Amino acid sequence: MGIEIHHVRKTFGSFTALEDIRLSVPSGGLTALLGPSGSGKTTLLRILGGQEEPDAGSVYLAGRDVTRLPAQQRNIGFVFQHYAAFTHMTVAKNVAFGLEVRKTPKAQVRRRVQELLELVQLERFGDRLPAQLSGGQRQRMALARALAVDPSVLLLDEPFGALDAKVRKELRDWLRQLHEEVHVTSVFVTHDQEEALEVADTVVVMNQGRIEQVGTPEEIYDHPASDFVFGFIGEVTRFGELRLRPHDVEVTLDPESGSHPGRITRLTRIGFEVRLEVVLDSDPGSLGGAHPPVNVQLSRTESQALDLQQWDAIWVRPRAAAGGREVEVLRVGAGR
Amino acid sequence: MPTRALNNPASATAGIPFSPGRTRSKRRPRSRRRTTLTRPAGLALGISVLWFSLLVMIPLALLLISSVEDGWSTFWDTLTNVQTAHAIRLTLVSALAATAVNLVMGLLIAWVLVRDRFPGRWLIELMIDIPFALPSLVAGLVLLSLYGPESPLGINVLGTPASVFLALLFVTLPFVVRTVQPVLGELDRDVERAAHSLGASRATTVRRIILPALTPALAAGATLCFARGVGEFGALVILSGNRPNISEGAPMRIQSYIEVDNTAAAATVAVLLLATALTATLLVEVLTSQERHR
Ligand SMILES: Nc1ncnc2c1ncn2[C@@H]1O[C@H](COP(=O)(O)OP(=O)(O)OP(=O)(O)O)[C@@H](O)[C@H]1O
Ligand SMILES: [Mg+2]
Repeated sequence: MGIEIHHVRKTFGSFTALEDIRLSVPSGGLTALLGPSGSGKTTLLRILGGQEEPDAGSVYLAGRDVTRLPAQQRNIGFVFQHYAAFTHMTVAKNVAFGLEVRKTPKAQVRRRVQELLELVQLERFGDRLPAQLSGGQRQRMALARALAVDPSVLLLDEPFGALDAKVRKELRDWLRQLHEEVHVTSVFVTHDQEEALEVADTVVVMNQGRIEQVGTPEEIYDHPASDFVFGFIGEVTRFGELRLRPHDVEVTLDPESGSHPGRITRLTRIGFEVRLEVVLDSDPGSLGGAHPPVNVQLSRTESQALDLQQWDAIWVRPRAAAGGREVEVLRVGAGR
Repeated sequence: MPTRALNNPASATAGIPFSPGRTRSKRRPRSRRRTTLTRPAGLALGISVLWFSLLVMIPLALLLISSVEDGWSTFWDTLTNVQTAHAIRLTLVSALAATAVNLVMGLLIAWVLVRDRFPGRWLIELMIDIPFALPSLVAGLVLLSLYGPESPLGINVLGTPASVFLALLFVTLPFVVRTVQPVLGELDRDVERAAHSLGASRATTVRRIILPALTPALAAGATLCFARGVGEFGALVILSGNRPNISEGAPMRIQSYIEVDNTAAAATVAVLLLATALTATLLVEVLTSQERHR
């Protein structure tokens, strides 16, 4: 059942924030809305949450048409980037809020709050005020609060956006584990492609109010459907008229078919990875203009096997179907 | 397992910012250094205290002394004098009523100014401060033109007890608006969205989320309102007609006692007004801080 979005459109004045959005999110999944700033992720999430009404189209949550239903009646959980804590209430009161609004019996509220605080590992913090929690703890409180009402859908808008890198990574892993336990259909917004690929089981890539591609992290990474997705999801380097991932460039010491001579102008080692910057002797394509250096990514083993050093003359070419996987290349400026 | 880091009590408490809440400071161990004063801070404190003494404390103390300098019986007689007692009652009741009305209206106006966009908003924004900016005698005249004997509305409050209430209502109008407005403007809209998503109706959200957040500002506004109301003189002079036992307010009693050179009685009324205003301030402070830490 999950979430169904049919032809949703949203404009702000003359600006089109969402254009003909069609999307179906499987129930029980963890879906990421990924896209650059201003691509309409928050707008779409708000439409799901009932905080914004679409100009056209309809939204179904768990099989129910909720397009004109106010947020109060949608039975969703919403988690905000900046926690949106009820600052004058204790952590336990925050979590209890949704249940109290629903007039749940007191004993039951207490039990459920205890359960949720344990789930988010805040059982010892129930009596504190949100201001006395760290950012990560506050966001876990917000999550418990949203989950308290047994929502049919959990919506998270950049839930880790306000946290520092380390806490963010911890919380990210933790969210995935939590999702495995709770299994509520979840959609989270992020502009961090690593976060999306790592946490989600389905990634929806958005750009300028449209959906560019929907797929598993593997599909999105290995088979980007458009030039935009290709460039947004991972690093891209140019080889003549082709655009490809730095690790899909093959380096050899001798000429091979389709390879091109060049010189290593920079060699950087980052842990187990080696990055090369290769300036080609001539442009392998016919686009004209200056050809930018080709970026290459190798494992240290590969690099050592070839005994690569800076200023070495080498040959490079796009890797052909390495390891049984089609190498994805796109023509420069090919568009969608 | 990544959860372990979150489970670890040390790491869980490490990042908690210390909150300088009132209840917290009570728990701070007493044996530690009692002050945080550095030398420049000490100097600043010294100057502040001196300044405060010259301007506020000493005059207040002298006022207190002069209220009882003719003995406690004069003090008591003044307060039980029928005319004075009536004036004090009228002032306090009117100030309370004006504060109550202002709490509601002020909140409403602040809400409209912060949340709504409409033509002429800037005009209201500008006009709010007029009652405060006007010399209060002028305020009295302004009111008189609409609610006086020549009222185009046919409402004449001149010389009635209602005139006191009306005058106070007018001069205290900006206080609640101006204290609530910035706080309301700063309120995170996501907090309301969160409440809605949890199933709270608009009314519930206002009652359980927005009002508690505004309580300190409302309290501050109400206190200012009441204090100003109790002391208002100029507007009353014009509008109330100072009819003894009918429309005479307490500040007028002070004035007339001074005119007959009865300083002790004047000081007595002043002390009572002062004590009431102070008590109100304290009460509000205590109530709202309890609310905040419940
Ligand atoms: N209330 C509004 N009024 C006018 N324009 C709006 C409004 N809300 C959003 N927009 C516009 O719609 C576009 C999409 O906004 P949205 O907030 O959905 O982007 P986003 O993908 O969430 O970006 P970010 O990653 O920066 O949060 C933006 O260009 C924004 O300026
Ligand atoms: Mg956003």
